[in-house]
Amino acid sequence: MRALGPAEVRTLPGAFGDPFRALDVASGVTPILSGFPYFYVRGAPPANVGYFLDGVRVPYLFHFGLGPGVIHPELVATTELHKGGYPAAYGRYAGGIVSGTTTAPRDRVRGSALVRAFDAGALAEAPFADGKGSALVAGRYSYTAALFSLLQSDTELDYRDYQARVSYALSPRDTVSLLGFGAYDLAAERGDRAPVPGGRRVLFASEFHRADLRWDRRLAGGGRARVAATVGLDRTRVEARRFASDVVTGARAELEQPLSDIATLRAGADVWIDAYASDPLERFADDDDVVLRQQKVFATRVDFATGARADVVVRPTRELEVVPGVRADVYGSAGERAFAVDPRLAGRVAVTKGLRIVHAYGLASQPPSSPVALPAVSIARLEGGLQRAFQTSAGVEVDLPYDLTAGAGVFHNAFWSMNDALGSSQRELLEIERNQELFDKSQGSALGLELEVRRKLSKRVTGLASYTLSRSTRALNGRRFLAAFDRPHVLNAVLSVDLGRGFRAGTRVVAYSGVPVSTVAPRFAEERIATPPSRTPTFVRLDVRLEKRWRIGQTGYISVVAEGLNATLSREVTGYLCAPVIARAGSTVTPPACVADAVGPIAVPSLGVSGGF
Amino acid sequence: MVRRLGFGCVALLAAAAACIPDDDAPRLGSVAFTFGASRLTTAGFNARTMADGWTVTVTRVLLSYDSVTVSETTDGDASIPGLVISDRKCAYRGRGARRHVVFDPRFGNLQTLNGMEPGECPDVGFVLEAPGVDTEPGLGATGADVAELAADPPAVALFEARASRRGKSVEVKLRFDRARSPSAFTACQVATGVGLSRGVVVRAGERQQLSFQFLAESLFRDDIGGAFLRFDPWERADVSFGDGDGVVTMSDLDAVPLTAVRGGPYTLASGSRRGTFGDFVRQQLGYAFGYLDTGFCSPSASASR
Repeated sequence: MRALGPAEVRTLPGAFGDPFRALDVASGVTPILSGFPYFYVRGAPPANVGYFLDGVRVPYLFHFGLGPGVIHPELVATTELHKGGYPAAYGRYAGGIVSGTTTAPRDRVRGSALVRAFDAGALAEAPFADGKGSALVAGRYSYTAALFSLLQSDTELDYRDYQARVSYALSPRDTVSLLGFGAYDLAAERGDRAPVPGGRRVLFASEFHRADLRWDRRLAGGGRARVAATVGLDRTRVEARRFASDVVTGARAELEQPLSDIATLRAGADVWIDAYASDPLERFADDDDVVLRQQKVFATRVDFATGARADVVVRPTRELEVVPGVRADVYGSAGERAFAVDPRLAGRVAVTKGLRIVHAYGLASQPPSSPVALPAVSIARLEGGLQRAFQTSAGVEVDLPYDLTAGAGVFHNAFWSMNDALGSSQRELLEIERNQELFDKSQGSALGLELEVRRKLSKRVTGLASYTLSRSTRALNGRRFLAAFDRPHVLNAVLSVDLGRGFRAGTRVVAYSGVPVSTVAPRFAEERIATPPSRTPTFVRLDVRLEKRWRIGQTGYISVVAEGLNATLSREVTGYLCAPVIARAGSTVTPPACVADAVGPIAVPSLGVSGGF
Repeated sequence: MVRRLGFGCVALLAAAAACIPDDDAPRLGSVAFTFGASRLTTAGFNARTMADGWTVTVTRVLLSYDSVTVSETTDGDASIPGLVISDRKCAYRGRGARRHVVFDPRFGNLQTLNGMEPGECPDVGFVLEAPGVDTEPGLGATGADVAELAADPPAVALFEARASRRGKSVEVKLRFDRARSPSAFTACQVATGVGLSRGVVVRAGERQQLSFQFLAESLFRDDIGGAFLRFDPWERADVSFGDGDGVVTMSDLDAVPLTAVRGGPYTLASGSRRGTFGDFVRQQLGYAFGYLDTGFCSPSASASR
């Protein structure tokens, strides 16, 4: 089904008006933890989900934890979640693809501002040179650091992001533009907890910056071409003085050219070079095995990826569209090399005016990845080889009465040689980085049914619902088991009502199954340990949103929005703690029952005022 | 106006594009603690070692070990009002340390504290604790040993030996219960040419090697610092005060008033002789741990429960 439009995103409760935070409402998306923008897509782990803005790879699109997206919402024209079998333009990830595009340069002055309890953001855009050029700046600044200072806290939390774009039409067919954007996140200790007076102990800090210079040319016959060069800097600093930086340089060429009335060629080639510099854990800074393992992640080296891709959109009739494609990529990391050819095939058949059948198949490859994507942090030397996925899906889309659109589909993804420490172990993230599971290569499978129904936003009462029934398994060391984040049922239901006089109220229900729980084997014969439930309980939360919007003139507005993620203050059980007891052989000691390990409630209340023209 | 707005926007962008800050956290170091046993514990006591001609062979020693303790201040100093103890200094981030383990000190145990901030940690010690939910069998121990120590009343150590003299043989089977035995040991120190050296100095990028030893001989001393090792009072405890079954147990020792023990001072640390021989032997466990080659650890004042 089509992606959510900007207006739909704005009214989605719990997304805080952020297009990228609205993605998890789609079917096929399995959350790891309520509210956090890290999710499995059709069984593929978070680190196998690639993020692109205007074709530029970025390490993440969300500020850390519960933070908002890193791109100003009004700069985002479209956001799409490609769940599998996606166009050949996207590659080097073996899971889903989150792609965003920026709005086209405007020929008029526009601006907007948003002030919330925890951050503020603004965007301004103005044409120049008689409309040939356009300049835009946007940014967001969190004043949580200042709030924490007022509270005399020894903790420092900070995030901010920026975007800037200048474009200029050299001719009616040629436009050059420079897009720069970046984001910054920090969590640190200071004050009494600082290692030196006035100093700071960094717990987590990351940033990325991108500058993308493009030349776009409209071609004869309705085609278009883009040549672009990108430079970037990624940096991450985590506790125990670990630090990594990545100087990113890349170039790409893209072509989209109708070949005939029924066929359009889409092709491209690119090369990306990542020059990593790292300060790994120093000797004795942690357990010896952890130090050795971390040196494979925080490693100074040069990586590259280059490749070419092409697909053809073939529309022999109005009812039929077939898109065969292929991409070939070469990967290199510190002397190691890998090569992948990933064919893709997608099709859409309009059986009747209101009924369409869609299919998508594809191979996808990805270099080894760490459990969560962090700027400049990745597994070096292609250790264990490329991750591979074979993605298949088929479904129908139906136009229904009352402006409803419904979709139903099935998918099956098979994974090989995947780095999914999150899914193949039941350890917490901080424990994974200390264990060999960080490098384990598992096989996997995800099978599911997706249902979606949506009503147009233009209606007074609108909404959407998505449901996923799935099963995700892993195989590791000769053992097959349910993936740690296998959630058989995931439901999102959104209802938004225009109450008149500029008021709009909305609510969203998120419900999903618990995760499987493994029994813990006694470590020795005399240890007794209780058996936990086979799965954590179902989690349900309710998000709410109420907006009052005043229109000012033709394009202006002011709105006040009260919004809450997890208004029900639901707590999420993430596992069970089972305390063993020790008993002599033959004795009948009953171990204590397992205790639910719950987090939260993770809730985000927000009150904001925004305006624009 | 537009120009002013533009400058403002650029300034905003510059602020937003700030880089991640430096980390002022210091480089880290490591301390490795090996736990072993004295030569006498391993090889046994011959008739010349014992003042009364017995030969003693240690047959079983099990310690229920919780963890090494490293801190900025000694146990007693921690109660000084206003004394700030950093929660970082002398703390460690490594988790591969071998702790919560039941082991035989003759086979040894290694606990390495990694990722410690550099500085002086003058109080080094360790804690014995009855087996809990995290306890595992270590070198020289089995799950059955863990269960035996965990059984009611829970114990922190088991000690067994065989003594013989002139054809007579006596077994020793002692269980040091958690409630009455010393279990926390602090202020480990060693004499150097310039005085006493306490604790450890953690150095960035280095691993210090330290060691504890279990000294079985301390149990047989006739006083806390006594020079003589004796077994006669032990045999007498079984024969004259106990069940005479040829096995000396803590029950046998607890049946002997300390005033009835002959052959040495046999006084408690308080200077008193009120109590039982069992109390004395339990007290001696508190002085049964050496530090480095010639040093010692002391039982914590708050440790006897």
